Amino acid sequence: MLDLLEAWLTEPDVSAGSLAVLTAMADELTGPLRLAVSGRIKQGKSTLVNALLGQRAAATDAGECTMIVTWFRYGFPERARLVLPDGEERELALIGGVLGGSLPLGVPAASSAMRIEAELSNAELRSLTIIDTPGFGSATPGVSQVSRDLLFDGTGAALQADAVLFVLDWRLVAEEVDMLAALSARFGSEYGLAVATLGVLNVRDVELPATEIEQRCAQHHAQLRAYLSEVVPLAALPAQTAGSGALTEADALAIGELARAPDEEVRRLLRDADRFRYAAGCLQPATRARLLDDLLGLSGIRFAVAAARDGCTGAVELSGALARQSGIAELRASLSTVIRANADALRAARALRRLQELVFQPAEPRDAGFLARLRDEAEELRLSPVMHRLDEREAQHAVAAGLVTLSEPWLSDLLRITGSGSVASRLGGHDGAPLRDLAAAGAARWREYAVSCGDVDRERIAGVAARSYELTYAALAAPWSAGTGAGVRRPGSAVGGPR
Amino acid sequence: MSSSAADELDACAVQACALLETLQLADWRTWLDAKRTARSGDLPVVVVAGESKRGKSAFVNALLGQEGLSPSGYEQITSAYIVFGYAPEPGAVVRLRDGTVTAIPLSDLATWATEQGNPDNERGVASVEVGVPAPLLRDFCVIDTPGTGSLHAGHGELTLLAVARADALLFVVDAGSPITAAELSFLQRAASSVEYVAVVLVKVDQYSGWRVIRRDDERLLATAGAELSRAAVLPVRSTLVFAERDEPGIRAEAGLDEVERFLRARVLAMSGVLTQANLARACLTALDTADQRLRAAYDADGSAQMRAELAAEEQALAALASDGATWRKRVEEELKARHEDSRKTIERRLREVSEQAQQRIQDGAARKPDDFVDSVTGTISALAAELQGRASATAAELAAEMLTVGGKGTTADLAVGSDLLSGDGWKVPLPGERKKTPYEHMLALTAFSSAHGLALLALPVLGALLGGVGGTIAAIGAGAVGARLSSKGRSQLSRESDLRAWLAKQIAAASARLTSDQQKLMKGLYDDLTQLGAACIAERQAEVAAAISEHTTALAASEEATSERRTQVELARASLAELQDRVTSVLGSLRAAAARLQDAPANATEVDAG
Repeated sequence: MLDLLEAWLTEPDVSAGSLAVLTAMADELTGPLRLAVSGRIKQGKSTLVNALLGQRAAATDAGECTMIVTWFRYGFPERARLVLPDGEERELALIGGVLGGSLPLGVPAASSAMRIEAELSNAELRSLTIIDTPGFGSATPGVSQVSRDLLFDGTGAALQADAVLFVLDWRLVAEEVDMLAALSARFGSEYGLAVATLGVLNVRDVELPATEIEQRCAQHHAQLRAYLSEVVPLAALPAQTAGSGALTEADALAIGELARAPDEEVRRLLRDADRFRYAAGCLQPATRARLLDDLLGLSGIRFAVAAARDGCTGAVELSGALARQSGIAELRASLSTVIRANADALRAARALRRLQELVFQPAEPRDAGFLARLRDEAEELRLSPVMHRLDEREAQHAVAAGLVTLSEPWLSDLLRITGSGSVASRLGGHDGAPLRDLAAAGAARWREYAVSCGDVDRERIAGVAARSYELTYAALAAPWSAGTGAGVRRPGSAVGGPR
Repeated sequence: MSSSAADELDACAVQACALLETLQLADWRTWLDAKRTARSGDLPVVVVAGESKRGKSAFVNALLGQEGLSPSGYEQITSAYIVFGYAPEPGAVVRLRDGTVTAIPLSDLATWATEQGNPDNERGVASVEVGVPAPLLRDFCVIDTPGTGSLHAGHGELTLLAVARADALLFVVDAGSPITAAELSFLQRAASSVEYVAVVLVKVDQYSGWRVIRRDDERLLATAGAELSRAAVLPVRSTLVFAERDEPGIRAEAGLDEVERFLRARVLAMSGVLTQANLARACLTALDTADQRLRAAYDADGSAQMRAELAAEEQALAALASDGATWRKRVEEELKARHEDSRKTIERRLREVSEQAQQRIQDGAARKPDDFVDSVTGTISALAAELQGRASATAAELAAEMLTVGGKGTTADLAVGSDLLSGDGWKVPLPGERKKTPYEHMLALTAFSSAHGLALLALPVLGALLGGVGGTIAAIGAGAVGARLSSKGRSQLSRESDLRAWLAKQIAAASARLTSDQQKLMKGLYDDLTQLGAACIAERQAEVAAAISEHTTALAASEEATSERRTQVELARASLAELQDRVTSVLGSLRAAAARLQDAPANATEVDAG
């Protein structure tokens, strides 16, 4: 795809506007994966961003900055700029790597046409650009116009990303479904959003039993299975605290003091946030407020006190316990399997979306001929083996989420051929059987099923499966793979991760 | 709301009932009495709505002080409410859709009222009624509704139905995030049908940042319409209540005292005020009806109609006076015209007679002079008779006209006519021995008129009818016939010339005689008819005058009775007005009380508490 873009960039008859878009696309394709964090307001999006970065970079209070799309990229020296609607840029203060919550003076009110570019020397950002989007769904009637703007831009920003983390609260609201549906409609293929999006349930009560949390994740996923590949839990605040090393030894000592205080007194104190903040007793009010508001929350403090009683002492051990409890590791794992593993395909899909937007825009006359060719080549691209990996993921998602039902043995067959593993195991090969014959037979089998199944959804999935067999056949036929066949790598798995 | 106002209102209502009774407004009395006695019956209804699971059920349990009462952690079934009422011993009753009522222990509540215990409401529960000894339930009926908002629009509809019957809505929201658009839209719809809305912010114990959320919520409510802008946001810590059940002041710390205070200070007081105001308004409505009845009684006297009749009669009397003059003139003109006619007729007919006779003389009538004389005198006699007939016909015509004159087109005449037709009208007394109704007169006249072609035959009838006029006609008739020749001069008419001379003499004599007869006849008719007309009009005038005097007497009597009755009605109305004033003043104080309750700032009690 990159080759194609470079070829197009040398075209003599292309207008400056189109050229700029193509140049940007070429850059994007080579850059890090873009991950948007989206969700309703005040669901902990910025906290999640910070937890992922392992650093408190995004403003988490209700300042104006949370109403502007913020791009976190890798860069050194660290700096942040506000890009105004007219393209003008203003430096933003970045104190100790943390963005302030409010905009500088003399800048127009926050709007969807602005964005903040933050460049941080954070290792995570080397392979991942994170886009923190404004929350949608403010019920304020007075700012509905701004909200709609933001919603639009929230969608827009998510569309500029390769993948999305969608933050969910303990309860689901109709706006979230609407938002995801709107996003999905603009995401190209039917389950294009689903394979690129991970739901994150922000667990505010870290003490909740794991089963209850799992159950809730499953319920959310059942509601949103057309849009989310899975829903994983994360206690964002403890994760942010643990990941950013915000918990100091002084904080750990305060927790230890609580752990040593009489049990009943501490339990009373920790039953209510206001009590903890205001009631007389151990710890300085400032310490209490820091623990409560900045670091842990009430349930986090309860958890930390319990951990301290169990022998967890010191900031490092406590942070470790918090990190384990928060589920950040599991989230990273899911991010790897669902998102990073398919980075190439996701990036290509986004470039294609962009390309299609360009192609179907009203063109300048001199671009007309070029665009027609571009359209053809985009279609061609859509059918390339790299893109087919996404089709396979969508098919897997459709059957796994129960959106399309397949009977046996078709289901097993589909999961095998689209799954990971050696070519032989994917073809269901056993001793002696020539792999090429198996691939040819598989393709024929699925083509026939596509014709006879009598259902549009199944027909589409059958088409994907047949093509998987065909591509495997083609790979086996290629001269460089002649030989064992077992060593053939899956197309598109260049950026690996744990499968 | 002071009890004196309530007592005053009650006294007014009792008096109003008594008044309605005396005015025979039994339906209204029953209605008002029912309002008066029923007002202390139903308790104000408090609906608890909001997201199900955790927050709402825990709040209901905490509010009622009954741990594990509303099934926490489960999803309430979507098709039924749980109604909480006071009972000394805890217990529950399940009403099924088929009408069955089953008593169940409270511990079984989850198996009936949750999706987990009763999936898709397969047991067909219509409602669940729970009785617990919670002090709050002595003054309120609390209804727990299935969850609203979220993704289940249907729940919201059911809850709105419950809210429509409620006095207050406690809407439970989570302190973890601001009110959602769905919740706000539910609140907006609910606020239009319920007097008091409070937003209960639950789980504030778990969210250190709940104050920010409350501020956001208040801001959202303030912009969501006038009804919601007054809604209080009450933070509640449900879990504290059961964790530290026996701690003094724990309900206050948990924010439940605040919720109760809201319900008692606002809803209960307002509910009382509203019920009283409702009764006061009912009183006023009933009293208005009574007043209308009294006013109708005041206005309803017969005098008005009598006065109208009297005025019509007086008008008729005046009309009769002018009718007399008109009539005389008409008779004169009519007779003059008839006389002129007759004169011409006499001349023409006599000329004809003369010409015929001349012809006969020429043809040799002298040979039989007697026949000739007989023929001529016969013809002249016949002419006289004919003329007499005509005169009587004229007399009859004019007399008949006379009888309808003197009231033609006047209201009195019409009134008389309609009375006659209706059969039981007044009999207008006529002077003379034979008292006839005008109807009888008319009947007789009609009979005569249809037969008046036989003029002579009818003469005696006419005479009898018209009295004096008949005499004149009879006398004239006799005179006219006396034109016969005496046999004495017949022998002298043997010659033609003699005959001619005789004929000329006879014709001249006949002409003179007939003309003078006609003149006399007309003169006589004129006298008689004008007399008759005068008599007729006088008679009618007398009749009308008599009626007038009779009616005047009746009117005086009626007016006296009316004024007596009016005095009584005035008295009744005065006491009614006093009653109205008292009720209105009570209503005014109720309105002031309601306004005080309405305008009290949402967080007044909080300010008081410091």
